[in-house]
Amino acid sequence: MKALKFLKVDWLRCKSQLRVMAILPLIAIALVFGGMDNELFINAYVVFGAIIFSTQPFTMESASESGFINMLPGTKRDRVTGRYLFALALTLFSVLVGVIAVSIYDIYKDTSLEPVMSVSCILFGCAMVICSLQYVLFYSIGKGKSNQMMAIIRMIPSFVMFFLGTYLSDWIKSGDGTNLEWVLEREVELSLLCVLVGLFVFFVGISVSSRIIEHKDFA
Amino acid sequence: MMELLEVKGLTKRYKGFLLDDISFSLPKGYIMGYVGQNGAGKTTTINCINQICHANSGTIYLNGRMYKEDPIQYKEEIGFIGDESYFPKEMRISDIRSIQKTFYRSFQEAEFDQLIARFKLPEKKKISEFSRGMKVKLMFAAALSRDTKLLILDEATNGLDPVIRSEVLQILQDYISDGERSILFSTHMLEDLEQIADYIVFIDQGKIIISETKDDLLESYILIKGDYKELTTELRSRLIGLEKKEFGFEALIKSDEARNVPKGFVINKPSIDKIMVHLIRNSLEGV
Repeated sequence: MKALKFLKVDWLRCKSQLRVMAILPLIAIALVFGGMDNELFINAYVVFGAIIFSTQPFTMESASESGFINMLPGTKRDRVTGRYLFALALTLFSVLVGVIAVSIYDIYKDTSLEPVMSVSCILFGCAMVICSLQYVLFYSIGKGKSNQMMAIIRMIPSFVMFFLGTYLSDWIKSGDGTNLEWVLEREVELSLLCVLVGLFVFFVGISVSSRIIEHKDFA
Repeated sequence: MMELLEVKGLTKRYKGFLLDDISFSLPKGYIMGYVGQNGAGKTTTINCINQICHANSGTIYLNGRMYKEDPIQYKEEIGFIGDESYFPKEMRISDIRSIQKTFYRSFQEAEFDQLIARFKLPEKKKISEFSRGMKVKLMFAAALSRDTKLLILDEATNGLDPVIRSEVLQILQDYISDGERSILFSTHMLEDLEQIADYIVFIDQGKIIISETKDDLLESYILIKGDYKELTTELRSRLIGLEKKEFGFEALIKSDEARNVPKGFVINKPSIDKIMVHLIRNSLEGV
């Protein structure tokens, strides 16, 4: 419950930046209508945006805020969990928006809706793994040690995610090859596995990050 | 007397700095001035009390309770006002109100709104657009709209114009008026302390040099001035923080030794400011 309160702090801090998230699906749909040959690209694009935005609280916070944020009633674990929930909420939102956008596109174009859920699950799982790893790194190196390092941690995983997503989408859509056949036969199981792995890493990330900051000073 | 804050043997090591075995206690209903030079260890002490940094050793009791016994209540009972705004700069007053409401059980929204109106703070502006005075007032509004027991000020009145400063001092006196709440006031503005503090703790290079009531402190020393050439070796050995000036010297001397001062020297009651200056000078001479 306390963690949800800390999620609210991050939300309030980032709300003006997060408004940009609302236009991401529109951009993605526009790109697809504009000539992209794979509508699943919309999912990847929106989740890619969510991963980038999920690091906003780290880049926006400053050391001078410790007298406020770190003194709010709650444990360090609550604070960490709240921030992870921020990433989870953003990712869920982006996946949902992606699914809706792809569905609208598919209905409009009268094409198959089948792979969209599987791709969304895979993207969700991967996004949770990436966000969790990023957060662990952010908590480890601390704010402001190196702005370049922060930028690398922020950008590289989301680009990997983006290219992985588009590759995966293309791969699934192409529908040939025995490996793909094997994958498609187990589409539901693999999708669920991705979600479970994502959530597992998410919870491990919370524990590891909490341990990292347990004895850190925030002044 | 019931102690509201008890700090016992607080030690914190940083590279090149040691906050060494700090102990003091602040009874309910009083104001303690926590003074010292930049880098003396004031903010480190406050950060340890606020649980923003971890002490290497020592214990801190707030209202008879250690942090680990009830972290939530501990934080509920502290109101902190720093030397710079600690609110996220992209937030507005509405965001601060919302966070306070979410986190603090004792937050009184009507009281907060009243203070915002009294301080004439703009609701629509981002905090980054606030002046320093406005930021300080917002910190006060946030802290005073909760049922805190201890108000901690870390150089909060520095850089404020005299009108706002006197308003702040009045707020502080009102805060302790019920006899249940106390203030730990770290500042360089020693004239502020002269007006409102009951206790003075003076810290230098991570160690407590003085910890006593303001009245005792002011009565403990006498300021002595005179012609440097007339100083005898015996008198000189009793002076504290001797400062040579263009037209003579200035130093402190213990009150109980003032009777033996030869005629020809000017003797005055010192201000806290003067006491601190000469004690620091004295400690530097000893290095």
